[in-house]
Amino acid sequence: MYKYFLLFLFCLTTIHAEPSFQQKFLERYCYDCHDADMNKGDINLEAKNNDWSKPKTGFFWETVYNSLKDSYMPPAKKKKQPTAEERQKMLDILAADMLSKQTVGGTTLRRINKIEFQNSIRDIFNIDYRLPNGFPSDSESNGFDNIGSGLQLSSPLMQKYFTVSEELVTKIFPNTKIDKIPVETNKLKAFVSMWNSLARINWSNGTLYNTTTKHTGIYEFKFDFSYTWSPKARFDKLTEPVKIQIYALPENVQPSQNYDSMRLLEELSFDPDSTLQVTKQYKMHAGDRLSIRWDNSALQTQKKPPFMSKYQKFDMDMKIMKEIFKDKALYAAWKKVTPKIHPGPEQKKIFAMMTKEMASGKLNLKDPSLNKVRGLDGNVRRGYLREFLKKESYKFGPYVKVDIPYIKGPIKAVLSDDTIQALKVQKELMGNRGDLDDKAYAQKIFSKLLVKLFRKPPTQSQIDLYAKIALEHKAAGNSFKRGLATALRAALTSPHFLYRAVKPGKLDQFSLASRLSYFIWGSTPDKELLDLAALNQLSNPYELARQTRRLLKDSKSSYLVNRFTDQWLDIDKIDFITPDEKLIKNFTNNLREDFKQETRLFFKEIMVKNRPMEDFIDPDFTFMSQESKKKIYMEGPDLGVDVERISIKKGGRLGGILTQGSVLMATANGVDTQPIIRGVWMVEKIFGIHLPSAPSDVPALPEKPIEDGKVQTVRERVKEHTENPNCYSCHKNIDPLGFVFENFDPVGRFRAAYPNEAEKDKSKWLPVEPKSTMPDGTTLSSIPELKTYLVKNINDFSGCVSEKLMTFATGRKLNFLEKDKVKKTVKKVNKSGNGFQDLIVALVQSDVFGAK
Amino acid sequence: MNRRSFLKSSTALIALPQFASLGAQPKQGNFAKRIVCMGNYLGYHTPSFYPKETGTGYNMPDLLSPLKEHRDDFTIFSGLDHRCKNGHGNWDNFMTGQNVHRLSLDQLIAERIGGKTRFSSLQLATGTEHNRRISYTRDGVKLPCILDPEVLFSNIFTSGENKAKMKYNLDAGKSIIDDLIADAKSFSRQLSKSDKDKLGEYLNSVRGVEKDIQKQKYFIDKPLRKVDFSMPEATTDKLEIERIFQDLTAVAFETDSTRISTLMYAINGGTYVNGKSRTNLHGLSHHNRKKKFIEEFNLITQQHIINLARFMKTLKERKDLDGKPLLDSTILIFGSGVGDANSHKNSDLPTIVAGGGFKHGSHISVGKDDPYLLGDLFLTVLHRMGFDDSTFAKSKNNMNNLFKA
Repeated sequence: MYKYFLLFLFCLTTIHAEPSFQQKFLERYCYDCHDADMNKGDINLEAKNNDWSKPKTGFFWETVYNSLKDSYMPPAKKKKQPTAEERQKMLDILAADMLSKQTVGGTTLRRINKIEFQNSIRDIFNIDYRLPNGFPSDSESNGFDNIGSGLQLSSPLMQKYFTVSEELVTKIFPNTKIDKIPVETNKLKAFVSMWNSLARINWSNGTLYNTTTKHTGIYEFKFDFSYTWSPKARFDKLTEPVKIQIYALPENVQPSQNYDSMRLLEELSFDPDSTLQVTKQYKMHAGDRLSIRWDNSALQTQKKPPFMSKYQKFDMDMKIMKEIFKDKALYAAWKKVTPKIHPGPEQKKIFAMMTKEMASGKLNLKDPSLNKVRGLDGNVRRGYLREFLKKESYKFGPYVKVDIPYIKGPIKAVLSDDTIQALKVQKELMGNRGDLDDKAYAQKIFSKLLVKLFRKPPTQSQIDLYAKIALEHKAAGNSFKRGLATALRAALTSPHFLYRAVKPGKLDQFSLASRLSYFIWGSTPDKELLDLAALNQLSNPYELARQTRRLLKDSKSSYLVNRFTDQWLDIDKIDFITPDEKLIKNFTNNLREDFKQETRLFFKEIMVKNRPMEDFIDPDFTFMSQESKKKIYMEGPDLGVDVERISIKKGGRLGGILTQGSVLMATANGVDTQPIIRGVWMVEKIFGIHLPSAPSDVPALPEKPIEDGKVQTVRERVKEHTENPNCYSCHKNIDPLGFVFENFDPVGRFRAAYPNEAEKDKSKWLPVEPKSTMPDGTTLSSIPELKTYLVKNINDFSGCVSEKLMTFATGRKLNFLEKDKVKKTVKKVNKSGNGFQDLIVALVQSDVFGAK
Repeated sequence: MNRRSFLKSSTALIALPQFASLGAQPKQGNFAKRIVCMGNYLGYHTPSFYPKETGTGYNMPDLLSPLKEHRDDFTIFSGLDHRCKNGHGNWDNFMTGQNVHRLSLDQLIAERIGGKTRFSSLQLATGTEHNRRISYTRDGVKLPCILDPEVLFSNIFTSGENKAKMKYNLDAGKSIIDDLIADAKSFSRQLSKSDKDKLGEYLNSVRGVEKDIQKQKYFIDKPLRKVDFSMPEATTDKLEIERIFQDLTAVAFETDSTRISTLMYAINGGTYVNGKSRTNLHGLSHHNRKKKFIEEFNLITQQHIINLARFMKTLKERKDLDGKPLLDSTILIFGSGVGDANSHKNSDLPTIVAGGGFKHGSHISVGKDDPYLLGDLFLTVLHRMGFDDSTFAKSKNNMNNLFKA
């Protein structure tokens, strides 16, 4: 009887004496395992899963639907299988049921995450803002770190919010009182450098001096510069004036990092044959130190900061190379330490010179005497040569001797730049007082400020509350400003600031503004959005489209580009993968960054230029850098330092997200490739099918390629997947896609055969067999064929991306009804050019986006 | 209990207001006072971890050989698990005794005795903690971890000159709490029922902060016990960070700044062993029983064992207020929420317990005949700390008869 009751509720059919089709279906094919008693895999189809107000009811039936649709269920080992007609009929009933009973919306109250907090503060106060190190990161849920249900709040995190708000208001309301500080005069004792006690600089990187100024103010420095060169020096004597640059380095900034925050104080020059004695006054901040740089030193790196460019490892220019060339032993050492795989134009010239020398017999790099260079024998490693040359020139020159006989100050105390900046922010925040009393003034300030903080006009009681906090704090014996600061601090920890998308149902205008701006900018809505919301104009589809395009065009949309691609394609994983050195030598962090940049720029181009969705798969352009071209893609024109756009032919191996280094690396482990991992990635990230998790008794892919002396191919190792019908039901979708990718190694390089350390003869290496058959019978024998297949079924891909975009935007997992609506949007956009930006706009206009 | 009420502490050791008084208080007597739990999320190669023999006469496995000199101060457990679902999602259940998002052992204890110290508990992690956390509150909230030793150091050793500023900020913070709660209540009116529950996280967190402010205010003028410790140079080497965290944990215990600490080893890259950068541990954990990978995996995970030996030494050298080694009254749990990572199993979890006044020196293997849960061991740990719990998570049987004080 219970079952009848269930079905009555479940299907809303009228009560029949005869069991309905769906009940017969469930009884016949499902209850063996999934009735109340067996409850296999926590799936009990007998249970009363009919409370459609709970999202989990919908997800439950969707799982049932998907298992039936993709034939995971009933399991292949079961003899009783529904006919195709029965299966389809059941699917239709389930689908109709979900579509009629589900509603759009249902995002769990969403806390702003770490990046959103940071960006919001940046945009509200118009300041550079970064959360301090150690601020907790957010948990990921459904593939993204901005999902309502995944964003928890705990008391340690709340403490952090308290602390950062406290620090932020201290920054905006700093102590502007200038204390009288006694002037101190210090003699410079020693300074910090690689060669600790030498007061000599010989290269163009900044050298740090132990000149910390304790207070903010004007300090006086006496400098004494001289130039030294001896005939033993490896480099020629300077024929032009010595150029010196003096920088101030803020506290906690190391000379090797963050050159953006260095301040150039002065540029000086003097004749190499004379000396320079000068007295200078500079504005210094508390904690600043001087960094002095010899701009035209022989050991040149870059002309200007940032000195540590991505090509720093090739930092010696031709001038130095020519010097090296005079000494064969140094030359030999240089060859050892300089990677050949990716030489820049300068290095190429030198390699060419070297080849010529060797051919003529003048240079024999195998000559053992070449290993005996002063200080260079033994373990030569990259960068050592530069250190060696530095050390040598400290002895023989050329170097500049720097003496700082005294530092005096603060001669005059002044406000720091940060304070001056803060006062600007404050002024903007506080506006004009006029003749208002404290209460009215505080109310005026907060009525303006709370709009920005809470992303909607505050209620009068909210304004009163925050004004009251300010006044109470003042009444307790503090200044009015400190009162404001305390109230601001409170507002920054208020639930109105920390949470968004509040009221159930259709989003109001202001919540819509927030959803849009956090989706694209990861930040608070700007004035234009808020103004439109206030005028009730934003939800107008035309206006919504216009605003979406405006936000996408803005540079702040890099948030969407970076965070979405990182998480959708798993690209953030590559930070944690270090490729095996046996696989690829010199895999650098630059290359890793280039990989990310390639994917981001690619995504951005399609988005901003409204290129068709097909371009994600098979475009006529791609992005690469000189380094990624040389090391990974092996084709393309000569490029400069940066990641650049290049034109390619459609239909090839290159181009599209599938064969970008970032993706191929993220879907391997840096050591070997496993077709199943890439297959699963394809299914989940490109086709958007959520796979059931693997049964727990499945062993990992057996590694041992050699069994009984016979080499096993990857295919042989996973043959059970095709032989065992239980495995096959899932793996039929996964494995073929994975095999097509076998032509790409764990860092994304093309390979026709599997490299084998033990086998010298490459022709004997096991060939890659990428050929596979998709469940629908399509044969795929290469990536270009897979691309064609995907382009042919582009709506599947667009649907997948759209679903992920909407999860990212709305902060919830979409239900069956919502997915259905998204699919319809995809089809509609495909009929009018299939532009990616058009698709985003159409999604934003949909009620799925517009519901809480 | 009134939110603002204070209780006088019943223990007269130091006159300390009771800041949190949830649940049972420990019995008086010779019990362990502190607990530190250290987990890694990829497990160990269990065949290398477990001794072949059980009881006291076992031969020390190579992987554990760094612990030789402490042989009588720890016990190895094999065969324990939580009997939970396998897979990535459950890697962090090491301390929960059941699925994730349930109260973890350390937080259960923190609820009860966390109020006695300046920090109710510490959560530390090396590497990227993102989703790798092992401490969960009663509401199932994952607690964030401190990743930077400098942050922990400055938390423990607050400099004197900042005290006035700190006091001001604490007072200002305290003064806004009631207003925030009032604001949250008005906020709550717009919410659906399930979102109201979600807002409960906010209210609980604000109240947690309030308690913490009271506590910080109380402790700000209390002199910190003088200890011999200097902070090493900043580093990015995660194994070095692990050591610094362990040292700071010992210092936090020594100064009685906290009595509960967890440390999660979430290393994956950025690890140097024998001067060489090691490729990703996750890749290696799926060693597919390939010897080369297992050796490399063991080489890296053995660093945790080496650090454990060092940490045990530290806990012996540093003394509690009675002048006795910290280890005598500190229970140290070392293990993982993963058994054999290769097959993604969350069963047969390799576990070591040290210190705390237990009788150590043996390998206790429970298996099919003695179907104990790791939670059963946690019950015994709770008893050793003076609590009477008869259940923890899914566990109802303690292991007191196998593992005695």
